[in-house]
Amino acid sequence: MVVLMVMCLGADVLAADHLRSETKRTYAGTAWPSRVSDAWIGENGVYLKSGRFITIFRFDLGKRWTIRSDSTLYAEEPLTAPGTDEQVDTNIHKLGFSYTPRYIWTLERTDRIDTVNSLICQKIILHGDADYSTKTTEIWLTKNVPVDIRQIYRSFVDYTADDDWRSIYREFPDLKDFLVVRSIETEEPAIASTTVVEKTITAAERVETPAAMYDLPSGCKRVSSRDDLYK
Amino acid sequence: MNTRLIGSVLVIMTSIFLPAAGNAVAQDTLSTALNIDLQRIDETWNLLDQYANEIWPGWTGYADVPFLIDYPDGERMLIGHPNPPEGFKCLNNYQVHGKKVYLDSRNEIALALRLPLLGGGGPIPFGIFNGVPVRTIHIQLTSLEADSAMPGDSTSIDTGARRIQTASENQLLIYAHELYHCYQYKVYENRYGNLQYNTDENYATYAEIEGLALERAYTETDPRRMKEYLRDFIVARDLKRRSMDTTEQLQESEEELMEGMATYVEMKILDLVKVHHTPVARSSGDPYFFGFADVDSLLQAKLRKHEYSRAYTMDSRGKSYTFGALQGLLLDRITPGWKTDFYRNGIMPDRLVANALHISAADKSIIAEGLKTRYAYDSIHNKHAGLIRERDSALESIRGRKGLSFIIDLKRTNDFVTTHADGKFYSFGIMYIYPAGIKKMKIEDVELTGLNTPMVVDQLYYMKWVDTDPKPGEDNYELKYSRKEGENVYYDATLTAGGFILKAPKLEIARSHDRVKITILSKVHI
Repeated sequence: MVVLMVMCLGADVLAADHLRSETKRTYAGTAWPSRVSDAWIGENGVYLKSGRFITIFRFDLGKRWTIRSDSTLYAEEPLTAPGTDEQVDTNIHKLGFSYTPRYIWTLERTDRIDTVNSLICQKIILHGDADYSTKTTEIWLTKNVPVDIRQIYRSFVDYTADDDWRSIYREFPDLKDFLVVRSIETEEPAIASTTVVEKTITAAERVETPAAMYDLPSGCKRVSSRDDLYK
Repeated sequence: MNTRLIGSVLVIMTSIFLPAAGNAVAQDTLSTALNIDLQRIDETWNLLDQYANEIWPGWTGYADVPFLIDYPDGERMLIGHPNPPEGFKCLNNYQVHGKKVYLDSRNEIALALRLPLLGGGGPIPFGIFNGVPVRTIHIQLTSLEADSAMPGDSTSIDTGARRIQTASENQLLIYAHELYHCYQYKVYENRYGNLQYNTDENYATYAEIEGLALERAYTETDPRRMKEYLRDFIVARDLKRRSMDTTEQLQESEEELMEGMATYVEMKILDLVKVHHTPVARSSGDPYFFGFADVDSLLQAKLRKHEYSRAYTMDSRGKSYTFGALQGLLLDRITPGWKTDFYRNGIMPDRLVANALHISAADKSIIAEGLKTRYAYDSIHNKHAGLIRERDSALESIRGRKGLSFIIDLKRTNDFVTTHADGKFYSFGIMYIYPAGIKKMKIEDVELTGLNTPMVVDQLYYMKWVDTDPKPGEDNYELKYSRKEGENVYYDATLTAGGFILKAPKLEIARSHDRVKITILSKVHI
């Protein structure tokens, strides 16, 4: 509901890259319902809709808003790209409860060329090895796509990529010259069962969006943290 | 004899073994161990049919929750699932409480299941039905070795205690505990998450005083004195929480609401069985089921668990089970009717206790001072402070070890390493540090002998030892084996490194620049 209101309001329009992606997850042999996400990535802001949540990045304000799409609640945080330094756990009360694998990645090039959603893609495979888990990530890449790939990384991926992808891009920065059209991540986690996550870009296009799309919808009520949005 | 109990015995004897009439297809036959679990689940549902509403008014739906049980031989049994995931085959000649039984034997290995099998777990989403994940109780069973004991037990277990420890009644109570969680998830939404908290000396000291106060209140028959002990509990809690931030405090209280009330259910079942029925020796093919003939000892065992838990320096979350249960049982006495709207109101058990006692700030100061003499504060504090110092020192020593890491990955055995490893350890979360090494670790035919050098067990399935002086360009281990497969898989292997000797029926070795990863591929000889 919030989305529609925003789309109808603004008279000014801005150019943006629109990416639609579909994510499928299989855990312990069971395939879970897929999830579709849409991101509009502009020069000054990003609008991301995924499941029950809308996230807006405002680079000019240095803010990130997370909004529940089925209510009027939102949380506000400073917009900072996730840190890249390895965190050493200094709080002794919290030590040892969670395990974050620090994968050492090796890249396997293949000769395989596949068409993914009409895009000609090159396939590579990344192998991650950590003390207590392993991960294999198959990737289909292309440069030939009508979006600004550099901006997508600068304004979107750098803010939203998880630890594993950040470490991949750190190790292999040339990958940022390509759009990842499909990825299949197969992880053998330390404790849980094998997890497979397949993500496919189903639309990549240059579009015009209302300038107001990156504004906080009127009538929203702020909560103190993102956790409060889950309650 | 209670007639309802006789009825339930007959139900068990008929419902599980009822063959499908006129079925021309060859019938599957389950092993004794799996049959026993069908009986245990059936008996749990029978108990709840009798007592659920008395234990917790409004508790229904327990028979609609599927069970998934993992066995040490790799078999997985699924009961009552509306849409079993791939790999599960329906056993047409078995059912429990009218529910279908399924078996996944794809990963079964040649391992005899040694009774008794006991274990824990919890509700997980498993499979999907009508587009929604199916909340299923997942239980991982393990064989209780003949010489095993409760963690921390230094005394040998006599026959009577052994009988209580290994009784199938324990498993019935665990099943009821987990079924109650499924009810909680329907009526209450978790707000704060699990408590993840490594203790310090202040926490451990006052937690033990809290636990002692609860224990004294529970066993006290005089109402006035019982309330005095409860006041001690509330004040000790305030003092303990000086070591915790607000979120941790809320998490702890919510753990007592969740795990404590599920443990309360276990104790209420025992209370009700004791009050309502004459125990009967059972003849249902389970040599470890005694028809609750030892109900008093089972209740005593719960209190022993509490005694162990309150005194265990390094545990925080584990205390919530009996601490919460005792608060529930005491609320029954000081505020009858407290369960009405309990989950809707969302007031934590410790707040309900405090609200019932009305302790002024002035009284709290007086009580706090009195705790030091009434609970032997100095002795308790000295014990915990010493252990915390040892723990922190163990952490420093392990952090200082740099070099070539040896990782032994036992995940495929499906057995938790800590339950099979012998040696003194200190824990941080689910990381266990053995500063003097692991003397011996044995999982079926996999055996590790430590060589008196620090080791770590982490993430339940992994052992880690660091060679601080590896020789460059060399393997830094010796390997003997009977047969090799491919580049790096070895059969009947003995791997000797500077810190341990490992024997395994089948293992794989992968080497990177600063790590040797040894994956155990089979725990039994092939």
